[in-house]
Amino acid sequence: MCYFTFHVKQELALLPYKRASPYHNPVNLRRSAIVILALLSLPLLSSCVKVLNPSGWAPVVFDGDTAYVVTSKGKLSSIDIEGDAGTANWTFPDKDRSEDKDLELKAIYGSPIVDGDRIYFGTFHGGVFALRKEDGRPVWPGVDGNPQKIKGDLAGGIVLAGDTIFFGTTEGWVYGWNKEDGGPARGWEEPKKVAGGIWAAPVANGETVFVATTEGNLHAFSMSDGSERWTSFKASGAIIELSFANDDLLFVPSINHHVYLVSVQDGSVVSDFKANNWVWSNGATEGSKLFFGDFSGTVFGLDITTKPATELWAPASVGDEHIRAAPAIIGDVVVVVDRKPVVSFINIKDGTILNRVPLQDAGTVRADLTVKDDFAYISTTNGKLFRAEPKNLKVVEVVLSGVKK
Amino acid sequence: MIGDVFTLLMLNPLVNLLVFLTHILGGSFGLAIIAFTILVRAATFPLTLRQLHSTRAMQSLQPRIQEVNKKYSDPKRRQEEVMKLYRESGTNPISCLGPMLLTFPVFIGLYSAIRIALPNSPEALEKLSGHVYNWSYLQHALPLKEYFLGVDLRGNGGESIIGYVFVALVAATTFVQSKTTITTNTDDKVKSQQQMMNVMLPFMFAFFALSFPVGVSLYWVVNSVAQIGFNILTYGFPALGLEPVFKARTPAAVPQAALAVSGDRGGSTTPAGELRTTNGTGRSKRQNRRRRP
Repeated sequence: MCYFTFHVKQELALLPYKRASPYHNPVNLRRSAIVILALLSLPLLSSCVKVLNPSGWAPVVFDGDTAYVVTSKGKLSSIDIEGDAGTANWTFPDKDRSEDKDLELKAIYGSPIVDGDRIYFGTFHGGVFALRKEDGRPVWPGVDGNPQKIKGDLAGGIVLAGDTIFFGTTEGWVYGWNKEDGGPARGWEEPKKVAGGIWAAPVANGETVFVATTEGNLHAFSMSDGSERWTSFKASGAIIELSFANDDLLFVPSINHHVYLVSVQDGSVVSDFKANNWVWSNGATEGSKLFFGDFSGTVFGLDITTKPATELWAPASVGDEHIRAAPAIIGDVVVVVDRKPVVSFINIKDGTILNRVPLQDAGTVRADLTVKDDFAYISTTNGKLFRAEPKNLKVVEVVLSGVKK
Repeated sequence: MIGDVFTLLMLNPLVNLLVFLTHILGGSFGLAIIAFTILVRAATFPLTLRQLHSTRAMQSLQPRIQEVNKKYSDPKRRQEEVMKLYRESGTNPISCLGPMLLTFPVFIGLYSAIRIALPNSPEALEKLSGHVYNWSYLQHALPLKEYFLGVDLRGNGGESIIGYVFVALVAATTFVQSKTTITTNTDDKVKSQQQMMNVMLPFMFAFFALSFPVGVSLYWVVNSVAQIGFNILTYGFPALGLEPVFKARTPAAVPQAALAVSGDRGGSTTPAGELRTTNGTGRSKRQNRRRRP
């Protein structure tokens, strides 16, 4: 850049003179042209690289026949589903309301949580919200935002355990808030700091909340006083997703291509399985069977009752696109959606692919699938809702209406 | 297509090099940028040295080029004579373009690489997975920490106080770099233009730095400091009494015959100040027009 600076200086200084004078020489003029062209093309070339801003990937949540769907970036809608159609009750934030006009939530990651007459969810940049299910208006926070300032962004979701909401931030802070008023919970007056960032939603079991970090650590905190129970596990790569395989085991995928099954009691690794690429999705479990996909477009089925876990069948390749969304199990079929997005129906018994259905004009799929009745619901990045039907191996769109963008 | 080639040949290697350097430097992306700049400067040192010598040689030829310019009014003939002068003095007028043309794509690549390597969202991290080579040493380093000296290297210069400090450093180092570059042009008009650019350029690049990621400004500052060092080693710094360390290759003496043209006055290298007209010694514009085919 310094040569560049020097020559720009030289050439820009000489150009007016050259233009005005008949004594310019063509070599210098050519050089000037190259320099000016290079300077002008700087913004053009740099714009070739698209930076992806947060858009979110929250799965659909059902409460009876009402679905809570992220219908556009950072907006949550309540939708009554009837057959292949859905009608919106409300959308939050509602830009038609003056009090919502300044709300910039950016994105919603992780599953919203329905509890009683409220729905709770965390947003990437706007804090945590408790809305009334009835009308979608916030119970908390008030106009001044959350009572406790959040350090960092929420790239994962939240978890509700008893009366406390837990979440972690990209700067490595773990918070515990009362679900009633959004204030810090007892024992969590100050957030806990861990090394690295937190990109996965915490999970809770009994009296313990588990937090995974980008440093590859897994922390177990006491819910009641925030003390750390163990930090025995450390992966060689970042852990950016976390869920339960069953009551005793944590499903811990890593971008180091490994999936670990970790004991909730002491953090010991019960099983270490190597996939083909990054694993950044939750698993779907049914009894002793666990299924997940990786970034090479491969679906794995494991028997988690053996130590170490063993493969149920040869890995099933559903293409070469990333699989970010957790699969769904319905009867004898595993439903998987990749980033393209294509819905694949896989036979749970032998891993054969029964059908593949591409979704048209759907954006992409990163949100976990949600099972309701005999269907798997798929939420896409452009706010569409699809329903996969394993019985007939088809996918239909649930057409949404009345949604405020 | 062009984007794919750029990604494959420039962006991906840069992203991986930055991730690698970050990992071996204790996870500091800022140190990785500094190390990267030093590596690039070391790799291009022979080109830099050639460019500095070439610039000096070019400038030492300026009086003679001006003489040629004043002597010949026919552009074609003038160009021929100037090229002859370059050839006989062993100077290549476009040799100084090499380092610049190399630096430019590196700068563009780095600008893009910083935006890719420091993901600002989960989606961006997912995208990064497609750029990082399938080598566990690199993969284990992700995601990278974006802070260096308390500043978010992803953020634009105009977004924080420390960002503004970097903007000021960009301006300051650009200014010093200009001052340490030789500008011994014999033409007063060009001299004054260059002095004006010495002042304008720091402001211009500071303006760019306001909207660039701080990481790019860091690269710019380190690179400018390196260039200032090279300039002082090559040109010296008379204001501080510093002599050049790298001695210049003096352009070969230009034979007087290079400027002697049959039919022109005597073939002597008349001092520029003595030339009274711009139409060739002793000729009018009308005479020149008559001589053209």
